[in-house]
Amino acid sequence: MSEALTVEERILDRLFRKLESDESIPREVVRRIQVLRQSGRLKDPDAILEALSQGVKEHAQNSKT
Amino acid sequence: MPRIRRLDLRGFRGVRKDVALLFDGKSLLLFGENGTGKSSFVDALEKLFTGRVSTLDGRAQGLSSDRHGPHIRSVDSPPRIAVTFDDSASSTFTQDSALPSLPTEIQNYVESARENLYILRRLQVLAFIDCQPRERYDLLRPFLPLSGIEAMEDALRAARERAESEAQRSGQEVARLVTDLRRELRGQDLGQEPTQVEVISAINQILKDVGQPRIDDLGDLEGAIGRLDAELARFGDLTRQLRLSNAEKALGELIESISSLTIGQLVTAVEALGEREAQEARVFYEAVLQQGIRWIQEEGRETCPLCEQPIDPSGVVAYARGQLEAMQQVLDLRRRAQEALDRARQTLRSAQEAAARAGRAIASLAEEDQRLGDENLREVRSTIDNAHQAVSGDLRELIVERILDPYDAIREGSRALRNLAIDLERLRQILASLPSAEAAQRLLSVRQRIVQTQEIWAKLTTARTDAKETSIRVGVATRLYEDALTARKEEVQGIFDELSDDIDAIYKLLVDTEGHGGVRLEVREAVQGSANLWVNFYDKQRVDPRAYYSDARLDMLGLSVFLAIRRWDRKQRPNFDLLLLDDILTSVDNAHLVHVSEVLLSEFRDYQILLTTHDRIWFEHFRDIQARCRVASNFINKVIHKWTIEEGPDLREPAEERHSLEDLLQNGQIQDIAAMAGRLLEHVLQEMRYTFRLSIQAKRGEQYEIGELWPAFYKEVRTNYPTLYQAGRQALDLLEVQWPVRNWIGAHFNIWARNVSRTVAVEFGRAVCDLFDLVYCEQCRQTVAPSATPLGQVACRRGHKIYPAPGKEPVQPRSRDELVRETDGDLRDARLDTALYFEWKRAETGREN
Repeated sequence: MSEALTVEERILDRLFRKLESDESIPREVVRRIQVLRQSGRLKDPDAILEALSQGVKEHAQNSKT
Repeated sequence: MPRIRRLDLRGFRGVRKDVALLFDGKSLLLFGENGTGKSSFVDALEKLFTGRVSTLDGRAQGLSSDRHGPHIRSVDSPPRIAVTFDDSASSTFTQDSALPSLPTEIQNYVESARENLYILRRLQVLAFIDCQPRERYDLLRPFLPLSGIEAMEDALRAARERAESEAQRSGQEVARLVTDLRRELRGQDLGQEPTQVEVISAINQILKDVGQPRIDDLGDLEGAIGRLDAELARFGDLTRQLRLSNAEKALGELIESISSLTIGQLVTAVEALGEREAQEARVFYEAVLQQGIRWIQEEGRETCPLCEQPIDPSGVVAYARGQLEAMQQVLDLRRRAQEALDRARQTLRSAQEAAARAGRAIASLAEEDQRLGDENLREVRSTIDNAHQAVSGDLRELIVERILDPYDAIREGSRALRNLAIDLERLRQILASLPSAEAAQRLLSVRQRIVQTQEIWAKLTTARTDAKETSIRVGVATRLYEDALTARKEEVQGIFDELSDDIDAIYKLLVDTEGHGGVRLEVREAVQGSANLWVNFYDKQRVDPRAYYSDARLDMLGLSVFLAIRRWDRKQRPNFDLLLLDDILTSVDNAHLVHVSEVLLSEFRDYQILLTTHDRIWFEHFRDIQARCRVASNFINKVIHKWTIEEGPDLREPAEERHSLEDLLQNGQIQDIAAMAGRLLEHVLQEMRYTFRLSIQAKRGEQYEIGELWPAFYKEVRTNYPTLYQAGRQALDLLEVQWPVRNWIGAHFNIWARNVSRTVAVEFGRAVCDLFDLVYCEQCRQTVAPSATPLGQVACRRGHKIYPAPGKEPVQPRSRDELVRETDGDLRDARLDTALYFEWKRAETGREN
């Protein structure tokens, strides 16, 4: 059993590996969720919803161009 | 790493006066018959470190360690529990200690001890096995610090739910705008979801009707409006007519909107549903039935998802389907009511918009037309708002009366609706009285429709974009949440797999039997925060252990789970090594007791263990195995001789009693000499009973008295250990001859002892002292015992005191390995080394067969 990472850190690492490989989630959303993780705001529904909205919008714009 | 040096206790549980349990930084094996206060020490450690006692707090209503922890006769003075550590400062931690004042390593120790992951009691051995999957997961929660992840999952779920609400609102807005568009372009051909081409075509048809040129694009609408204005300019200043016409149109649309309200249908649907549900005498959980069918079928379950009891899967599915079918009518009514609710909300929203437009149109009328007033309109708007509010909640929260009140005020034939119609008629009369050509009115009407259409289309375009985005957000939010749940389950399962391997390894050490094992902890896929426990049993794979394992095997499995979890926790907190095992095994045989002892003494040798037991046989096994596992120097073995409510547990060493008796022989009273001599003799004989494995007729509670122990001891020594007999002959024979004194006195001074003279009492006491000196080694702090080899030798553990076999030289006690290697033929006599004992038993059984 690895002692370097806590169980929670290991779960988050696994989650982000999933998100990176999940084609149904735009990269723009994943990047914003990653930022939330780094700033410790993954427990904030408002911040998550905002990241979703902005990420989906950016993805739509990037898809057009 | 700090270890406990001593535990001082007073006024708590079974301990009234000051008692110290001395660990000296070592592990401690504590033996005492039932009810002698062993658990008081475990309870005290738990209370001190965790603030509670799990056998009291939360066990039953009214039980608590604060209330029932103190000794029943120490009501006036509070309990005192103090642990002294073996650090350089000899730090002492009590209930009143300020943690920051202690050295950092002690603070860390106490912090680690807060979570009770290191105490196992008999009652708790089966707790992990004999519980529901969700409770099992809860029991593992202390090892899975997932509060941060759970908070994140909650946030992701909340974000998804909000995205769903936004998507629902966006969808309703699109539907409302489509309704408005259809009303403006009434009579025109529009599809289910009107397209720009259809809208342009419809507008061109309207323009054509008034002789205006067609447009190719909605961007051309401004030009079309300009052309209509130019056409209208020919009729002079039409501002007043235009405003009156706007107001007439808006009022007409409001009346139409009100007439289109579907509240009546909603009320009918809700009442029908309510009546049908009222006929059902029970609550109907269709979601539970649907989910249950899915779990059973998709997971191939053979147990109930809720209670884990075995089920007939096809029978349960057929029953659940039957229930669902029987309730189909309710489901249909519920669906219809939900649809009626959605329609009612939509028509009310349209009516609100129409009322707002009518309000603006009337407010813009010229001063001479203001006599119409807007009092009636304000009342209607307020009533529509109330009606909308009444249907804003969930279907189950709807109250028909709250819907009907505002609805009655605006429904067909109501005063408000009649007044609106009167206002509309007045507007029309004014318009008709103005010098306006019919053509101008038609042009005005077309202009208004085009302007409205332009406005609605712009809103609809935005709303559709918004709806599309919100729909994508819902999909992404759902996927995020699902990925988070899956990541957690996979990671936890990974941990469970590691834990399962460890449980399985320990279990196989404890139960060396074919067909057992394969212990697996599994996160349940269908239910969040739930864990299954499976084992293999011969050719049955992944079965509930309770279905096949015996009580003893379940005990072993429960112990394996606890020990694996403790070891896991130690990896997280390597400097906390306490392990408390309070009388954990009752229903297992000697072979299992030996296995448990070996596992504890080998796999957990680097822990500070407090092990209590009421089982004298296990106590002896454990003591023997300490030497074999080379941990004897790490252990202190203690015996609680007796317990009284006033004195508490008697932990005094026989050597202390020997010294007390010596003092009494000099100056003591007859009864004191007799009492102390009796007690010391009883202690010695109790020890001899086990070390010499004396043959005594079994007695309930194993409370043997001197009169029952002595004859067997005397006969055994005289017959089989002549050198020991010769060395102590005088004392032994005197005690044998003075049997009446011996039996009268017993372990306690009694009425018979009053007849004993001082001379006899002193003689008796002296003989007991001599016997004690004969069999007790002060250096080993233990009594002598028959050596495994050679036959007939008696010695202390390390050979300080040896009574050789007749005609042989003294032989130093040797290790088991040496004995096996050198004296294979003497195994029959190796009765005090448990492993050798079992080898002999197996050999004997083989011979008998």
